[in-house]
Amino acid sequence: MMPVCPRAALLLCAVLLTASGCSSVVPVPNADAPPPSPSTELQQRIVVLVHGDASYLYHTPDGAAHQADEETLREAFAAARSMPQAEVFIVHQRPQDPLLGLFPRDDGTLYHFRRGRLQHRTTYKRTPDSTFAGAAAFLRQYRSSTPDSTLLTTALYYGHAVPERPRPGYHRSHRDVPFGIDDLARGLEQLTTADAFDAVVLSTCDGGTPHTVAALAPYARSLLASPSDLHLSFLDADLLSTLPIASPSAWTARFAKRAHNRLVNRVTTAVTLATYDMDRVVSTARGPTRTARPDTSTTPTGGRHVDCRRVLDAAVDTSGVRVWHRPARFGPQADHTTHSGWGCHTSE
Amino acid sequence: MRTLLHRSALVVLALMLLAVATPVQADINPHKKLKQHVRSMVQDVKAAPTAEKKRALLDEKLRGMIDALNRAESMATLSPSDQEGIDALRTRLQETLDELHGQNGYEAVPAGQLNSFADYVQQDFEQADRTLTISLTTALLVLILIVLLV
Repeated sequence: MMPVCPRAALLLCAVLLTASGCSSVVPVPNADAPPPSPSTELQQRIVVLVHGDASYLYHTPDGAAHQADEETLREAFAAARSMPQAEVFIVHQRPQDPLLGLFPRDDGTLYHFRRGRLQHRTTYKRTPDSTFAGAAAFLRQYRSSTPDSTLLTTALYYGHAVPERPRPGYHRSHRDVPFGIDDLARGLEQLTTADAFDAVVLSTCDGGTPHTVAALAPYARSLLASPSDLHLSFLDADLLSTLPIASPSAWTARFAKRAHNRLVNRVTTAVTLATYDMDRVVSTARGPTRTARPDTSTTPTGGRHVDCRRVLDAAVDTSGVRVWHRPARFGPQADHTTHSGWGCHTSE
Repeated sequence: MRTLLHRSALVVLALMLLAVATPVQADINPHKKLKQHVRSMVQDVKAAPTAEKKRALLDEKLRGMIDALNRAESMATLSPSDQEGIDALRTRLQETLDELHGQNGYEAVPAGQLNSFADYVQQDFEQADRTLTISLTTALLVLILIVLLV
């Protein structure tokens, strides 16, 4: 039998285990430019939540495969590097990928940038019964002393459609744990020290539904979301660095316009984005929530949604809502040239 | 003592091999494979030399997927969530077939737009992640049937 050196084997094992423990952490590339002056005044705090614990594979027309969550992280890193006036927290919820298929490993990664410089990076174990508790603890520990109330505060969520009602199956590694829009709303509450975020962005399918808007209303002054399907290439996170400090509604509108311009140039499916001035839309959101057919789908991300105007008998109030819509080139909704900005569940 | 150390080292090496093998095993992900199947279909359609061949390829592959869903439904007892996911996917595939051929209220996709239509089929399939609503076990069954049938 071939002789085996036990010490060498143990050393090799230790190296392999260490490497495999970090295998799915997306690395932060080195900075191209020198970091800005540490005295630059902070004007903005951004929290980017990226769900990657599901299937996020998509293909571009040339056939190339892309992993939506990892691309979003790289875009967010690039934005964070080029924002000297911002503090940026990036949270990646990853598949658990147990060691040897048996031993649980960390399934979340946290990144913290301040004034363009990576300050901290760490991994953590997600708590199934409180999806954002780990991220909230990280923020509490590392955020600068500048209070949220003096900054433009924004939170972005990237992932599949967040169900209107909690249901299991959303997280591949925690399939039995229900997840819904109320869990995300509670997470937003944990992630800010102010009353609410100035702006919240839902880069998901079916974010602009009355129930979802009503659930997020206490935690956002302005919301950017899609009331219908959204392609997995998402709202480009690198756009964050192109948006000037502005009022919450102006900030979300600029983001919507620029993201829409990019999306319509790369997909043939419908692209519908809407911004919601939460003070003005909350009564409408709570109204149609009562009259729209509830989403009783049992699937992890909920049922199919269409423009509320097509399922509600009454007229839909669109005050406080701005819409950017380009219909699909093909399919059943190709002739729907306008959208109210409100998405409602349909059983058709 | 030395033999014991050698045996321990062998056990450690075996564990290391397992550690390397686990990610390979995890890579057999039916949701991912279904998306790759649609991607291959789209690339084949684009490579087809004539509009007739492009349309025939799309027809064959879409019908094969619908057939696989029907067979999976008849072979296994599905959870309500899986049943809902399969119904939604089948409906969407049937609508795509209808549009391809100009049936059930659709105008047929013009010959010059079949490549764009193939892109649309893929983007529509992936954007809402229509397979995500189907459990891993059922998705694996559907995938096996697609491989066997198409």
